[in-house]
Amino acid sequence: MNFELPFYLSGIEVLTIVNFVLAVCLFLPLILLGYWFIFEFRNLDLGNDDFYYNNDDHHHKFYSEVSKSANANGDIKEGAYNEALEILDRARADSLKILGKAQAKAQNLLDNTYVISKENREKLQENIKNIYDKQNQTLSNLSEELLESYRLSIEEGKRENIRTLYEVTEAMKQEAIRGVDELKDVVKKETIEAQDALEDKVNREYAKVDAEIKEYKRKKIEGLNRKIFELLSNIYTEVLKQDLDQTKHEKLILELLEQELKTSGLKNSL
Amino acid sequence: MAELRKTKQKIKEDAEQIVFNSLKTKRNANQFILLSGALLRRSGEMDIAKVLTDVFGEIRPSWMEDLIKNVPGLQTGILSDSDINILKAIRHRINDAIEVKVDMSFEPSEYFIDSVINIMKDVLKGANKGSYNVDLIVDVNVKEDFEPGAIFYVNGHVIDLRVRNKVINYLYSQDVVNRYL
Repeated sequence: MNFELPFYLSGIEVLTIVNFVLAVCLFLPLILLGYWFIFEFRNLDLGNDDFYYNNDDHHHKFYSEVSKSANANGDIKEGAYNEALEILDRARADSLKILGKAQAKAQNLLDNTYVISKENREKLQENIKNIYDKQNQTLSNLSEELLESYRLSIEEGKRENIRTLYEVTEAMKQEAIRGVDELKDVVKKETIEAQDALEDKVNREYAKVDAEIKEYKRKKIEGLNRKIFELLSNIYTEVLKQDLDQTKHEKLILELLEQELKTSGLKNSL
Repeated sequence: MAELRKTKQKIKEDAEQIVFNSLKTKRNANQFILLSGALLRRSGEMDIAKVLTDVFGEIRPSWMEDLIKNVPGLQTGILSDSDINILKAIRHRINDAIEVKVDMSFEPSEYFIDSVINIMKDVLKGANKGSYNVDLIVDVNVKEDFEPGAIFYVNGHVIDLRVRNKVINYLYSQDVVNRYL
């Protein structure tokens, strides 16, 4: 992946964030290092005279020595004072010199730092690019792994969902089938009972109507027969009455009596 | 002595039977009861002819001959104990006799009455397991408008022998309407 670091300075070089961080990280130690050199350089310039320099202990020691000298030698107070002033002036001058050198050195260091940054910029970019690529690769791999894992999880979840759905569907199906079967049984039972009841009712009604019709028919036929028989018997009786004398009549009655007693079973009940 | 007593008893029973058999109908039985009552109320020698005339008038029933023949006291005019016992026994038999009531349209002949009694006796003998001591009295009820045939009432049973009913029953039994009409 190609990218350009942002240029914060137009014209010469552009200080990137990385360079800036690197510069700050390097510059501050260098500055401290510069100050350290300056002190060291002064020590080198002043030889073994540690009256003026080294550290704060030396400083305190110096003033304590001066005080002691002043107290000890009142006579040379003024001379020493002057001498001290001179020393101070010289120290000031030296310090200014040292600062100038340090500044020059710092400038030099800054320049070197800049050069180093410029040289390493490409490398840094390349490294960053490599890092980015690696990171990208890693992220890609990670993404792929995550994707694969996610895909596997999804597939597993999908399979689980499908299995669960299938089980739920199967359970619902079985439940529905059971419900339908029960409903079917109930409907069948109710239908059969209703059908039986209806059939019984129809049969009863039919039997009732049939009995009524038969009764009506029987009564009608019976009435008709009675009328016919009465007619016939009347004819027979009228004819018989004309034909019967007492002897025949008595003989007829006796024959009928004997026949009736034989056929009706009155013999056993009289 | 015992033989003589038995013979007398037999004669008495035969006399009862003959007189009772001669009665046959309820009307005759009633006449006998009336006569026997009149005779039993009297004592000593009596004029039988006068008594009969008092009870029946000039026309004497046919059964009187058998009664006079079998009850010697009616011939002599003096009723002995034996004669009185015969009369009483006949009255008891009349009271205990089975009555056969007949509705019909004419006055039946003696032959008809005898035939009815014989037929009924045969039936009752069979019903009484061979017992011959069955006394029957026929009560004839003549109804001029009665149709041909007769109705018999015996021991609570009705035997309808009207010709009309017999014809109708015959037509029913033969299913004449369905078979021939």
